[in-house]
Amino acid sequence: MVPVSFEVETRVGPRPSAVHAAVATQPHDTRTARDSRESKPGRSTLFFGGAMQAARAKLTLIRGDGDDGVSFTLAGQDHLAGRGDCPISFPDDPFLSPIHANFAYASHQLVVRDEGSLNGVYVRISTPTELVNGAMVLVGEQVLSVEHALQPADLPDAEGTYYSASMVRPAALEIRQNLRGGQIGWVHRMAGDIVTIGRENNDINFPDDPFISGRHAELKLAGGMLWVTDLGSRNGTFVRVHGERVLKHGDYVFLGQQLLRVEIV
Amino acid sequence: MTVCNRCGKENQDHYKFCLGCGAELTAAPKPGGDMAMMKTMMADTGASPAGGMAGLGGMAGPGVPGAPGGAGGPGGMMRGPSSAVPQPLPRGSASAMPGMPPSGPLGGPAMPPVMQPPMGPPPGVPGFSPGFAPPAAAAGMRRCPSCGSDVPPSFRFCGTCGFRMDEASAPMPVPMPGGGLGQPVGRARLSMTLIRPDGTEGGTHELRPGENKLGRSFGAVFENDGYLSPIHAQLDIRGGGAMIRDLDSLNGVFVKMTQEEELTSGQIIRIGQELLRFEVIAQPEPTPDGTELMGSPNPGYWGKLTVIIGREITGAAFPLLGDSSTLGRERGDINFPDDGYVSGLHARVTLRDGRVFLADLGSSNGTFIKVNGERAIGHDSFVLLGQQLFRVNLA
Repeated sequence: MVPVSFEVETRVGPRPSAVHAAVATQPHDTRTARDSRESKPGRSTLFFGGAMQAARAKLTLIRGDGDDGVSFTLAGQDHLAGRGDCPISFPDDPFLSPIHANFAYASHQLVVRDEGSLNGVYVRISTPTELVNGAMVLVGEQVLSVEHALQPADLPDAEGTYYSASMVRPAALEIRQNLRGGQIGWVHRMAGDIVTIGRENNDINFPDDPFISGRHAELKLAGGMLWVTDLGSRNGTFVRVHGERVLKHGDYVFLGQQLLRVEIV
Repeated sequence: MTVCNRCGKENQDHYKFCLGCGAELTAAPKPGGDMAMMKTMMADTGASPAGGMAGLGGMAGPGVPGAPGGAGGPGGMMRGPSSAVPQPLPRGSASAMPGMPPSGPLGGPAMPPVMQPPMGPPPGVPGFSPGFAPPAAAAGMRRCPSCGSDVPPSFRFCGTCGFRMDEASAPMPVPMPGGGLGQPVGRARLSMTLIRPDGTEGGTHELRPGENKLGRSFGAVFENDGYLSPIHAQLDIRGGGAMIRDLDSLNGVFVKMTQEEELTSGQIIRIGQELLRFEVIAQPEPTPDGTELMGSPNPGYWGKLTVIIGREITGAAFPLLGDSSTLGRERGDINFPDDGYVSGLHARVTLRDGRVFLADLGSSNGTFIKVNGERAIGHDSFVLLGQQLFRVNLA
């Protein structure tokens, strides 16, 4: 039982030491990784347990701050990630809150929990996924929010005056483009129950976004519930996590600009 | 959907004129669909302009057809509407008298038409149908001897051709009840003239020098417009000019633009049936802890126009990019293809030296800018109050 390879086995990035340092800054991670190789007799029991946990899951950085390909072992119980002093730290990503998310084990499952971050945690969908009203979806570089419980028209005010707004157009879905910095770009209101998103020839097109596939995703309103389906896009469709979400082997998680792949042994 | 009787095209319910052939659509429209504006594609004026008398509710409203003033009722004078004798009946019964020549009124009554009392129908809002007189309102119509149009009984002049109805029905000079009304005023010097959807002139609201309150409580021409607040606006006439002030009305006061105007963030404008809010898209500011809000990359949007669809509800939004963006029904950068009151190419928003300007591009119905607080207006200005368009006469 010599668990030496778990930490750096896939490390091909240019800055291995950075990852090492990031992991090593946290006491219990230090214990699992470092002390194991030195085989201190007095720590062997602790190490053994830590190694077993470490083998349960790890995160591999797919795309991010130059450390692509490095791995983060999830050896303890909780593993905080963020821009600040966390075991999984990306100090140069301005879209991460100091403490952004927690990768934790709960009931023998790995979950990701949003720690009240500003920008949230996004998980790639693999099957049609129900969206809550106002859900946020990430496709390519676009951060979209979708509403399907649209407000009804106005009633006259207390004096019996009607509000004179624009002509009434039926709408089932409202999709907003959330710009970097918090402003809203365009807003589309769609009358149909199905809206396709992609680079061209869809209901909503992003001809200039290099990370969006020709046909990327589909929103569908059925029985009062809204579903999002990935249409086999190259880079995937991500949905913002509300609270926490169970992760499976092969899931992808976006934290800020960091794309991580979940590997569960 | 409303199917056009003439060409068969399906039109949206709120359209008053067919988008295919321009014929007037007769189906009952819904609230919100009516704007007192001309159609971009002009209506077939032969089709009874009085029939679609949008905005004339005050004159031809549901209360009118019965017996204005009571003097012309079924028991009134020598004319019995119940009589089977085909006597000319200028009022009080259906104007569509078969075989009745347009000059009919001349042969008949010795009585002058009873003037609509100033208060006319009660300002009843219950069952209010914004801006539209139901078809039954045509019952009280007289026929203009000059052009044959139906004219509401309270009108002294034909709304279509301007023919003086008093002369038609009362060849002899008769003292008019209530002195002021009887003055032979061709067009009031200080007044607001209603402009109907087909472009013809409707009723007139007299103004006086000094302060004039406008709103549902201040005159027959206003009282059936449910989009007007009871006390909506104030028009102060001083010298040769006037200031119009929004008195915290629900829907505000809009003035038709006659030249380019600068837009500031939050300015509300109207083109066709679209109520739009201009907003600047500013550079993002950093948050206290240094975290930036994630989002789509901004390709250079510097502003946007948001469609207002309710008091606190917004609909579609169109970002503004580059030096200028045009608005229209078909040929703009931003299009409202289903709004027949927007011209093909209607207006332009321009970014110049860090400032934003709005210009009308010769649209049929004009571009309207909301009055924030108060604003000076001149003679022949067009003002949109509620659902009704008025021309202000100050000369």
